[in-house]
Amino acid sequence: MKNILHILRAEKRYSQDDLAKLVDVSRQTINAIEREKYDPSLPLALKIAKVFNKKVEEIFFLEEV
Amino acid sequence: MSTKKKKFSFPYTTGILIIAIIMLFLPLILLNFIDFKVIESNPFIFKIIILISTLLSASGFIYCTIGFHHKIVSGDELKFRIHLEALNIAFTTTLVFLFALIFIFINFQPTLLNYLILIVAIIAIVAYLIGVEIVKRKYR
Repeated sequence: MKNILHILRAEKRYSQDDLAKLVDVSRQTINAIEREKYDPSLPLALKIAKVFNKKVEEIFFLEEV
Repeated sequence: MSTKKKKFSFPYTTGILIIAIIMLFLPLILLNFIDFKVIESNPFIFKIIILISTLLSASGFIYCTIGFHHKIVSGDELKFRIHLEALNIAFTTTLVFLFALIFIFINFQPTLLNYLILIVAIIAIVAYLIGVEIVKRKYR
């Protein structure tokens, strides 16, 4: 699954650690999501979407074939 | 009206784990200090000491196992995922070793069957620790 988390984070000038604290996970989790090594759970995706005031599908989307 | 229940968070797990390990080896430690004649003349007391220390040790290990499980489940979701995948690796490895060891021991060394549970437990712990490192690398 693709995502634009690193772009949104850079726009808001949040560090990985800041975002991790906001959504109550570890910095390693945010790093793994940004590097597309790990797909977040639905509750976590919703939390992240809420932080950036966007819909989940605007941040996370399937790779286009 | 909804009432919020305060969840028990299993405190002092590390301390209890250390005490449980000490309790597990307490009879062995005591054997070095108590004269063997004293044990022979009054074996009941020594049996009671073994019983109590083993009971405390078992309770401690159960508390710590549930406590660590609770911490992982209610903690970071990536760590929980790593834990689950490592458990999967450990379980498969243990099962393979269990069947292989049963076959080897029954045919070639039946006396070692007495230590099967101990050997399998050690294999499971080692496989879990290696599994965690392998899975961590995947998400790095």
